[in-house]
Amino acid sequence: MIEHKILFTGTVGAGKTTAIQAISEIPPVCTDVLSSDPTIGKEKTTVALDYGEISLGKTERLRLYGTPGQQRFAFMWKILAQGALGLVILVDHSRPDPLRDLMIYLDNFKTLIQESACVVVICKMDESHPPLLEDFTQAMKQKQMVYPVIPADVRDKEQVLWILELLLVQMETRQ
Amino acid sequence: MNTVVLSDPSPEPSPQLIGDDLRAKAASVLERFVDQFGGVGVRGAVISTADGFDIAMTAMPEAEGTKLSALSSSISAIGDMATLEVGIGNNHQSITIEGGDGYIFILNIPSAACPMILSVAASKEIMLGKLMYYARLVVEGMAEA
Repeated sequence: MIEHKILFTGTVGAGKTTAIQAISEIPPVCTDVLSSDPTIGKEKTTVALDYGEISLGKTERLRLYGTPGQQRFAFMWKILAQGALGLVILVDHSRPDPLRDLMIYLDNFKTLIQESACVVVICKMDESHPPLLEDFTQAMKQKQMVYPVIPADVRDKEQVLWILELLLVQMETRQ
Repeated sequence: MNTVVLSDPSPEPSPQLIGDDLRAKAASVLERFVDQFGGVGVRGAVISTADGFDIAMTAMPEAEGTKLSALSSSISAIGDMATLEVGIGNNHQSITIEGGDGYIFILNIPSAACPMILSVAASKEIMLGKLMYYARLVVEGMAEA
């Protein structure tokens, strides 16, 4: 069995836990606790990690890890990035400054992104107001980072599987 | 290999949901706790929310208490998952970390409205039984809050 470690990160409330729950074949391990921060707009929040698994055929398995979103848990980002072969960054489009949010994760996971694969997923996308998808792509280009940027509803299993597909294609072309 | 370069975390505002009365209660409970040791053994203590915001701390620099709150929150959540997985309870009651020069104790403070965590840093001179006894009194005192 060949195993790959895939990491989900991104803004608080974007749907990291939801994405892993949508596709995991095992009951996911979640470290959700009651949130005492009213600004994040949800009742519970991840403070350590999420974990799930999904197999690809008979020979490969993906181990899916989710990080906490808030920056005070940045030490968990560092721990969880070890050995990861692909990174999914979820950006919540409904937050005040999604472009700035994306930059936080691009900066913090810079080395991992350069050494592995990356997909940027815009969640809760509202195309009636900026930033548009091109704005995200442009911002990444300025950092010499050229990776797919796609809108998705991570509650939908098919869409999360499509995100993984985009990641796996990059991983294969790198090998 | 895949290292992450950490940028300086921007300070996150402490949530308003933590009331002044809860902060005052936590501060006085902690004060009583450290007084039991007469300056020997206990290096600092902090009470935080389960999601890692400090509520009150004593004998500890603020930056350290803030950081320890976030760390303890992660460790505590993993402890809860481990006890659940192995079938020894829904929540851990305490977690001990032993370092070369001391200990960190993390205790769950159950509360439906505001689940909290007590973190205590201690040196090797500490009497473990005494520390656990008084730490449990802190938990009981806060659980009623």
